[in-house]
Amino acid sequence: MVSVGTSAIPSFLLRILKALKGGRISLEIGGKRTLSMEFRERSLVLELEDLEPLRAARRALSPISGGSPTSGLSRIKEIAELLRDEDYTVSLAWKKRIVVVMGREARPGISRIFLGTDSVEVKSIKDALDLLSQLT
Amino acid sequence: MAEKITALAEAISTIIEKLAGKGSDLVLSLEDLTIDIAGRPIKISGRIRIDVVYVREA
Repeated sequence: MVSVGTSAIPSFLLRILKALKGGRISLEIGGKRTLSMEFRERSLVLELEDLEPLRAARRALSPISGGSPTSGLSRIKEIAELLRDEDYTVSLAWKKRIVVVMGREARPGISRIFLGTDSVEVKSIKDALDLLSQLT
Repeated sequence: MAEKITALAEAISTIIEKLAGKGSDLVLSLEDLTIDIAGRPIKISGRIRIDVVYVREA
């Protein structure tokens, strides 16, 4: 099985963050707002809105992205640690609330124990689990 | 590297096939997007629309 995510995604994300200094990108599919990205100096807020196209994309990509939920978590940790090293922050929002913060501005608190990193902050475990269950 | 590019192309192809003929147009909106090009900030606003009408085997 071929994996496209492990090394390509973090460096691609970092390139985007370095190039985009401000403004907003939003994506609509079939007339519904799917996601939006708000860029600020050294940070990005990614807001998920309609999850159906994201579920479909995940299903389409799963044969080539490979890996288990634990490899997904280690990929998130890898991205978050790279963001912290490079002094960038990426926040994931859903239902108008920040659910996860990765990188420089992450304040992990107790989640450091079960995630094993200082670079990921879970703002609400309930929201994070709810989002995860709806994406799978 | 070539394997990765092929896998990515296959993924994009699968997504386009699923969207074809379903009125699933994609609209990318850019609002005051500031891009740093060679140390100079350039602002872009606008919309990019992609209509996937049908897919044919090459």
